[in-house]
This record gives sequence, C-alpha cells and structure tokens, in this order.
Amino acid sequence: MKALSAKGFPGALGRNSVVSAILHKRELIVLLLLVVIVIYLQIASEGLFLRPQNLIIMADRKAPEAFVTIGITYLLITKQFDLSVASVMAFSGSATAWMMVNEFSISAAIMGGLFVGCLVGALNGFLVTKLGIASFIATLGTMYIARSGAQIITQGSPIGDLPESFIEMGKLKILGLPWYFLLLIVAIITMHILLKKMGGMNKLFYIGTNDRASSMVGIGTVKLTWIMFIVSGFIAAIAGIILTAKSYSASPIAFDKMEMRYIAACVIGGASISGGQGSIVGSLLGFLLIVLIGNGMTLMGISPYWENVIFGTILAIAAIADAYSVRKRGG
Amino acid sequence: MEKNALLSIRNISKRFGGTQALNDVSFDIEKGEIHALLGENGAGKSTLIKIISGVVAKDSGEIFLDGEPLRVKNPQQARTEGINVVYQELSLVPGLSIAENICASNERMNTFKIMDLNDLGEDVMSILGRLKVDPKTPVKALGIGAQQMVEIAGAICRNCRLLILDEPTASLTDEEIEELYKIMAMLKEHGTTIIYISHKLSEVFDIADRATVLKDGKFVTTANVKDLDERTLVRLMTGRDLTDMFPPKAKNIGPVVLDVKDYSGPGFENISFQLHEGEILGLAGLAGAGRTELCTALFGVQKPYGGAIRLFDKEYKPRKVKDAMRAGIGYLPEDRKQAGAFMQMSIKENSVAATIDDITKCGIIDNKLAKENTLSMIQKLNTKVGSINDRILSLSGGNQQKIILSRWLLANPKILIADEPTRGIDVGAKFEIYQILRSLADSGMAIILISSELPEIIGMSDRILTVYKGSVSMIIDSHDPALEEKIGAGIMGLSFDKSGGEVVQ
Repeated sequence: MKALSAKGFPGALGRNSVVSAILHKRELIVLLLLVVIVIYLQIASEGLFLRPQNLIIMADRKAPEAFVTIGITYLLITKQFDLSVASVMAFSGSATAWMMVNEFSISAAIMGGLFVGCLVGALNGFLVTKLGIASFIATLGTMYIARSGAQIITQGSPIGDLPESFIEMGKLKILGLPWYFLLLIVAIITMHILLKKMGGMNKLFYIGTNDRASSMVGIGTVKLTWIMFIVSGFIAAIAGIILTAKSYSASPIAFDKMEMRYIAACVIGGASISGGQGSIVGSLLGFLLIVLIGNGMTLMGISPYWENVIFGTILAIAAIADAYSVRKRGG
Repeated sequence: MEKNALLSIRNISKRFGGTQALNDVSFDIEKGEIHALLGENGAGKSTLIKIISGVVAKDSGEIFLDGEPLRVKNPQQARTEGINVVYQELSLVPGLSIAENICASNERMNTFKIMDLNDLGEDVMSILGRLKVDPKTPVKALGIGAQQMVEIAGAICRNCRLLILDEPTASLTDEEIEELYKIMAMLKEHGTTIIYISHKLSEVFDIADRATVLKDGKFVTTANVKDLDERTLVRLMTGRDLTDMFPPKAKNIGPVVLDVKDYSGPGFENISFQLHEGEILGLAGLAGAGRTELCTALFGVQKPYGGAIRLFDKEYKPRKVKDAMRAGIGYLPEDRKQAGAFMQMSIKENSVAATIDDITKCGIIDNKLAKENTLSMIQKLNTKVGSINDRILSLSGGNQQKIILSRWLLANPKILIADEPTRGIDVGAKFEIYQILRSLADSGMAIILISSELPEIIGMSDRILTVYKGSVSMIIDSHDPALEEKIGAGIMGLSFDKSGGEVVQ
C-alpha cells in the first residue's frame, strides 16, 4: 500500500485541506485542549484550581523541568533522541552538591555541574555523529552511565547540608514569582523565535527532514547535531542544579524515568520522531498539559494510579495525529 | 473490438476538479504482448493505470478484460481479476525474506492458513533463479534492482494475466535493466501480457511490441514499435521535433576555470582534465565507473587520495561541501529524492536551501528576500508551482528538479555539476532543462554534465570525457565525426583505432 499512499489520489490533499491545516497548527490544538482542561478543572475543583497559590506552586515545582523540553525539541527536529536528560539532571545536581560540600566555591560548583551536563551531551554527540550509533541506543547508554555517575558521587544517598546562599538562590523571587519561572518564559519565547528565524537554527529542520540532502547543500550536519546534544545536556544541567537548590539536596535517584515524560510532552506538542517538525512553544504546551492533568487529578482527589492512563491516551492520540500528518506528507 | 485483445479500453474519460485527465481514450492491449504506454507527465498514463487497477473510478467509458466488462472498485478486486501493478516505489518489507515478501503480498497460504514458503510457483522460482539468491535471503540484503525483481515476482505469483510496470527501470543499473528485460521476455513467452511505462524511449525499442502514446489526456496513436523511431515518438508525445530537443553548442568557450591533475580518490584514479568557461563537459560512463565519485570529491563530499586541482588559477582543496560552495561550485545531485529534495519542506525552503547563510542578516533569516529569490527563480526557469509554501512533494519530477536547480542558481556558482539532471522526468521538462543548462553556459558558467543517456551526452556536450573503471579513457570533441563510436568505445574501456574507425581491444 505504500506505493499507493505515496502516489496518492489526485486531489486527496485538497479534500482534507481543513484537517491538515489544523494538524499543522498543533500548538493551537494543544492550547485549546489546555483551555478546556483549565475550565473543567476550575469548575470541578470548585474554584480551587485557578487560585494564585495553586498556580504558583505548580510553576515553582515544574518550571525547572520544563527547561529540558527545549533541548529535546531541538534534537527531535534534527531527528535525534536524548534519553539521558533525566539522568544528567541528577548527575549535574549531584556533582554541584558534591563540589559544594567539598569546599569548592558555589560558582565553581555550578560551573562544574554545567560542565558535567555538557560533557555527557558531547559524548552523546560523539557517539551519534562520529561513530554512527543510533541516538536512541547511544543516549540509552549514557542515561545509565550518567545515572551511575550520580550514584557514585553521592555514594547512593542524597547530599544535603548545602551552603545557605546556594539554598537562597532557589528561593529568590522576582515580582512574586520564582526567578527561574521568569527565565523559563523568556527562554521559551526567545528560543521559539530563534528556531524559526535564526539561520543556524533553521537548518535543524533541513537536517531532520533529509540528512543527506542537507550535507549536499553545505549544511554542517555533524557539527550542528553535535552542538544540539551539548545544548540538551547543558539545559538538563541547568534544570538539575536549580532543582538541587530548590530541594536543599541532590538525590541520585531524582527524576528517574522522567526522560520519557519529557519526550512525550514534546511529541504531544507537535515534535515528530520522524524529524523536521516541532516547536518550542508546542513542546512547552505539551509539558503544561501533562502537568495540569497531574495537578487537576490531585485536586479532584482522583487516584494517581489513573494519571498514566490519561497521559498514555493523550500520547497515543498525539502519535496517531503525527502518523496521519506524516502519511499526508507522503513520508 | 479486436478478437485478440486482452484488455479493451473504450471511451474512458476522467476529470479531477478542473483538469480533464483522460478524454475519450480507446485502445486495445493484445494478449501476450509487451505494450509500452508513453506520454509526458500529465498525459494521463498514471490515471489510466489507476483506473485499470481499481485505484480510482472512471467517469465514463468501458473496459473489457477478455471480452468481459471489467468492474473493479479497488486494487484487491483488480488482483483477483489477474491485474497487477508494480510501482516505482517498492512496497517490500525489508526485514522479511524474499519468499515471505512474495507470499505475504498475495496471501499464498496452505490449508492451515500458514504461508507456504516452498510453493512459489514456476515463474517465481525462475525469476529468483536468475537473481541467484536463496528465497530465504532477507530483502534488505538485495540491491535495489533485485528488490524490483522480487516485487515483480510477487506480482506474477498471483495468477497474473496483466502485469503493469510503472517506470520499473528508473533506479536500476544497466545490468539490472538487462536482467529485467530477460525476465519480461520470459513472462511474455509464458503468456503474460505486460503494460510498460517508461520515460526512457530507448527502452521502448528494446523491449516493447507495440506502443500507445497519450498526450494531454487524449489518445494519440497505437503503433507497432517496428514502425516507429525515437524522433517520431518524441514528436507524437511533445509535438516537438527531436532535432530541436537540444540547443545549439557553445559559440564562445572561455579560459580554463578548473584544472584537474592526477586526481585520485575512492572510486577513481589518476584523472586529469580541464574545464573551460562557458563549456558543457559531458561525463560519460557506465554506472559505477566513478563519474559520481569524481564529482562528489570535487564538491568536497569525499576526501581524495591525491592529485592537484587548480580553480581559477588558485590551488583548490575542499575539505567540506561549504568550501566547494564558497569556491563557486554547485552540485545538482543524481538522486533527487534521497540527496536533492527536502520532500516534506516547502518550495521556498527548498529553493533557498543552499543560500541560507547568504539571506541571513545578523543571524536572522530575511524571509522577504527568501520569498523574492524563490519567486524570481520560479519565473526565470518557468517552474509550474501553486504556492511557494506548498511542499515540493506536490510538484512533478520536472518541476522538483527545476526548484533544486534554482537552489544552485541562487548560490551563483561559476561551475555547476549536473549529475543525471533529467533522470525520471518527462520529455517536455527535459527539453526545458537542456535549454536552461545551455543558456547558463552561454552566460559564462562552466558545466559538468553526468549522464547515462548517450543522446543527452552527445546532444548537450561541447566536449566529452569518457570514464572507465575510475579512469579517463578518452576525451572527445563534440565535432568529432566518429563521436558515437568513440564514446561507445570509451565507456567500454576499448581503445579506438583512428585510421579505420574500428574498435580494437
């Protein structure tokens, strides 16, 4: 059937133009879904949901994690995968904590944590671009390595007793909002626009769509892909360090198995595993959707065991939409 | 209706929206013949095939299969009637074995509803025998040509009365095409009727018994291939004469722009030649002779082993594609789908792909400039597009090629390497590409033309370089009286005796 669907019926695209137009505005669908969920939660929770306390708590808890969707989205667009992010978060957080309790200055410790993130990212990039290992496998390997790294550093138990000024950093608020929440908003908007407008970033779409054709028009596919892995590791490190400050300690098992959640959030937001598609805002909205569902269920007293059912269903729907749009594209 | 007709097509019409794809088409396919179906893109060949095989419904008219009215609503029904289509795009499962693929494609089951991998039938076995492979080999281990044969084997496995081959040779090497011919001849001998669609006219004369030409959805003629020649066919298909197909040769050839000396690399050895401004240099040779390898090395894709290149009298050593582009070289790749087009991206994005850095100001892409550049090239090359935001996928092969060509013209190269620029595109678009290439050369560009089609090489080139097993075997001027013989000898690695015009070993 592949031959038939690829050749298609003349006019088939035209007939479905409304459907495909909506599919191309995935951000819009997710946003609409979010609004519906918010209204529903607001009514069902009898006005509890939209209270400022609840919103600030959510933003405070989840904003640091939301950063990693940026790096993951870049990689998905490039038709790559990064399973190591959650482990890198724990690894970088642990490294920073370890350096601080071992008499390094706070700034040196933070630099150290960021360096660890970049290092894992660079390793991922090397394995994928230079050795030609599929990114799923390469980053699955570094996922285990980084997780072990965190466990070795911490000797298996959380590192506490962090310097007071480091803890204060996690509590810093600007205009009543956590600073990293504001940074997240700024980063999302900037990265979203840069991805679309910046020449260098735009090349990611070319690489993800057709790697070979990209190198034939002089796009440095190896270099860019490698950089994106480093960016992903770097961003995961930022998230890990912020979360360490927020939770007063670095735990080697923090965010275990969360990488799939982050990737799923991006896919829900329109990034495609088949490459060449996705946006930063879309991925953030996908992340928000997951967070809201979790929070809403807690508010409404639904058993958390049901959370994954709903989450899995949404992911399946997103995947079907993705498959549908890929087929329409003739891919 | 002829007595001997397997398939009688009577007054078939089909309309898609505003276009009349087929207009009152009638002709017969005789039993046991190989019938070529010819026409430019948009002539209605594909639509007709889709109607016969039940993919689309006809608006009016009748089709008779062996005298009985044929009423099929979908490809499955057509298959039960014994009508099988092998498309250019393969539909095999790479991980499964040959036998499994063949059986799966036609649900060949034994009483226990288990695929009977041993009962493949005589014709299938003789095709596989030709391939000299074990039916248990996974399909992914085969070359593209062998995969095509497996696809055909799968089709004839299902009680096949009519086999339709839609451009089967587009991605095959010459030897594979030979092999395909042998299989087609064998099937014909066993009584299978074949409809054969191809853009390569020479193939029609090699293999077909009769040919039907369609033009703009209308039936033009059906004739015995014996009574036709290439010139007539082109005229019937395009309304143009073959002699007008190729533009005149270069009038002014300028100074040397590229001087290659003792150049060696993966797939080629000790190659020396010069390329002049305003010249089209044809690169002829069999598939695998090293033509593409040589040019990709020039373009910085592959690393050469040794040799020296001077470009505009400066040493030229590209380490990556970007270096070659900066030095003023453009490359129109051979495999449009794999290495040329970004199929899922827009026409605009495809057009500016090689010039993203040039239209980026302070890191930000100038979208307005991208749009202007795209539109100006569309106009210049007379490309037929709807909106520049449509996917390039929606265009015909010829128009896709023009977009990829315009991508390079926007980069303003001084040397353009065109690797099989007309592969898989119809005669009308070919003609236009020829005109474009020549006018580029006339404006001072130096062009290296790689082509497997001898008429194209002869018609377009000012000088011809023949390559055999990775080395230059001959450099021939296009005014040479024994041009064709010399090229033929050159690509076969034979030397050419000037005095007698004989080819000697």
